[in-house]
Amino acid sequence: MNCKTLLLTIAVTVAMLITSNCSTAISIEITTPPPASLEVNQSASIAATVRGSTRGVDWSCTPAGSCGTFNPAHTASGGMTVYTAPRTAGPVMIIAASTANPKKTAPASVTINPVASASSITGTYTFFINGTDKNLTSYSVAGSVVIDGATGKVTGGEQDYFDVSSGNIFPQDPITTGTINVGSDGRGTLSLTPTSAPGETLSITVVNDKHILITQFDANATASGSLDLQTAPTSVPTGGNAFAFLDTTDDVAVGGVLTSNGTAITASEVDDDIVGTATFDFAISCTSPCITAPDPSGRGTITFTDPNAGVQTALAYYVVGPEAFRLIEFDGNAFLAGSMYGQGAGAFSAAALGKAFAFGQAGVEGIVPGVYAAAGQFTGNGTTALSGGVADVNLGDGAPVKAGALSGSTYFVNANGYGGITLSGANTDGLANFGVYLVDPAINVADPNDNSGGGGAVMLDLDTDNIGVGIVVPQTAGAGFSGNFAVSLDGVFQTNAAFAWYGLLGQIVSDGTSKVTGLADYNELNIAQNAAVTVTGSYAKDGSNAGRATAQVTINGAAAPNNLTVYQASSTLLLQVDVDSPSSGLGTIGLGVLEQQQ
Amino acid sequence: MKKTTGGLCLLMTLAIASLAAPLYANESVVPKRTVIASRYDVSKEVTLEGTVQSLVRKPAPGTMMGAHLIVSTAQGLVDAHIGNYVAVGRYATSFASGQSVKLVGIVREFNQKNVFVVRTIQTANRTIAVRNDHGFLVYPGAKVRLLGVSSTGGAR
Repeated sequence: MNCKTLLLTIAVTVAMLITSNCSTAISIEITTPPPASLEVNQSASIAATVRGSTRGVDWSCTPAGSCGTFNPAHTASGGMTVYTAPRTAGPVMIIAASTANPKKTAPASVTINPVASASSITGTYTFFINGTDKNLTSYSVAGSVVIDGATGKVTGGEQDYFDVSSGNIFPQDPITTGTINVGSDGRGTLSLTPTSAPGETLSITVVNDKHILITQFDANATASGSLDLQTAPTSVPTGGNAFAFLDTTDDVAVGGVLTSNGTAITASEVDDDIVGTATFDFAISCTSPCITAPDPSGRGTITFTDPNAGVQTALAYYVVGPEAFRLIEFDGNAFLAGSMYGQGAGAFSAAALGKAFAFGQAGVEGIVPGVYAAAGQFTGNGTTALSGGVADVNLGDGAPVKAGALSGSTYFVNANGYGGITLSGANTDGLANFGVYLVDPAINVADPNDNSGGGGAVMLDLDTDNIGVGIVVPQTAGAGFSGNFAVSLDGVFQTNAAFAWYGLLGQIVSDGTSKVTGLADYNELNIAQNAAVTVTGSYAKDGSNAGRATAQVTINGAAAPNNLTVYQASSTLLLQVDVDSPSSGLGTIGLGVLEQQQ
Repeated sequence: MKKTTGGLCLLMTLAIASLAAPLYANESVVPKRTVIASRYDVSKEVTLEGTVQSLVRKPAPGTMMGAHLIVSTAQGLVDAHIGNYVAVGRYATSFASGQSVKLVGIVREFNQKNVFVVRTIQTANRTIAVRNDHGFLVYPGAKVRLLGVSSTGGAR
């Protein structure tokens, strides 16, 4: 051993001794622990402190690959990382390890709870879906279904069904069997086997135990709606009720307010639009009993005559609660479907619209391509005019989608809640006349079992080239957008390679600043039923219009994202409209919601 | 004098009534509706005569959704959009190759190509309504029909 080698050996030995001494001195402790439990996809800031080393902390977890993520995965001692729980429920062990000596670790256990479970979806639920069948004609189903979530079985039910292309109308069709399953993120499947109608496979996303978004996810149709706990099956529409129905086959919309004594319609104030000719403020008539009491499944009937239509309209209603009903026409005279909500004590005035609202609507459009969607927001001045607002309208005709300034438009509300908005001075692509029919302020029209209410209205578009239906919901200033959301989007797309009516339903998580990620079932009718596709995107607030945001969302890894405009009603409800219309006839038209899972 | 007083009372009553009317109207004011002109402009309709070359029930992507009738005319082949109701389902009409038809409609651009948007098809023995005069496709089985209202979109 020469002198050089001896010196090197000494240096290495000293270094090893130093390392050894440091190693024995290193300790690590999680100083900001995670909560004992987190919901799937939720995040928490955590920190660990290392003593005896300045090299910081490496974060990991088990079971590897399905335990969540850390951002960043390495922190300085005492530095915060954001842990995001996985999409699946179960126990997770978070591990903070000294970077200097990975054998020095500190664990923390976290239970990841599901957003929902099938066992909590138990009882009788009312559902409705409206959409398009595989022959591209109108298709609707409404009914009630008895679900035993604990066993995953559907034990009974009843539905009304129409499919225009086949001409089949099946009123009071018993549902004999079915199944339900729900994943940790609230996504799942509900299959129904009616007696006469074809079976229905529905994708579902649980918003809460009483309110579930649904969309048909099979090759027969794409149609969307909701499944809501039936809380009062014997309820009959009484007092004041606001309603809005749309028939996309006959190009008819009917809506307004009606007063009922439980068997007769004693007063009404109604609008309609029949193939582009709108008529305002008339009364409907009926021969008593106009309204029949519900059967044990919560199904009753309402019959009336619209003096402009020339035929009687017989609708089945399915009760959700005392002030919420889903309706579907079963007489074959036309193909109306929609909702009706109670108006509570009534006594409305223009002041009822004297605040901020968001709205979304969709329907039929003349010529090209036959469908449109719109969403927006407005603020009423409490008397006769809108003091502000903006809307995005996608007619799919190639013209740039407009975001028209709605200030200067006028509105009115009668004492019975019958109202309207007339757009003026705004570039709204042919949308000019909205029928607005106010509901009980205690009702949430997006989730009729939500006791926090909020009110709002159902609405119609009553124009020459557009006939549509939608909702108006109160808008809360400064609301955040963070956490787990059920997401839906339905419409039609057309490219040079493919076209389809589509329905998307899934679950996303928002980081609260600019990103969303999630999974969804995506039914491209007559092309494919794509299960659990990825949904990723970014969004940015509109600096000029608080409450409005633009988003680019990539579905199923598509080469180009969908461009969406989002109107935020509250921290739990957002309305979105697809605004892709690059040239006449090409693009995507769609309307959907985001509802926070609770 | 008595008569004059009576007249004044009447005028006062009318005056009060006329004042009262706007006050009540403020409780239920109905703004004037706006009528938007239809994008389907019947004044721009043209009539084409020719013979059916083919019926395309499932058109290629990038073309207008719904069935198309390819018609041979003196000006050449015309791609005529007739929608689904006429071609698919329980009210479908059959068209034979070589059958003479007279089409009424307008020309619209769709995906940077012209397409003839058909409102009516006249055959040897009948006229088929494909659209109404606002351009909405007409469902052949429709029982709903507009009765006795002015087609103003602004009845108020």
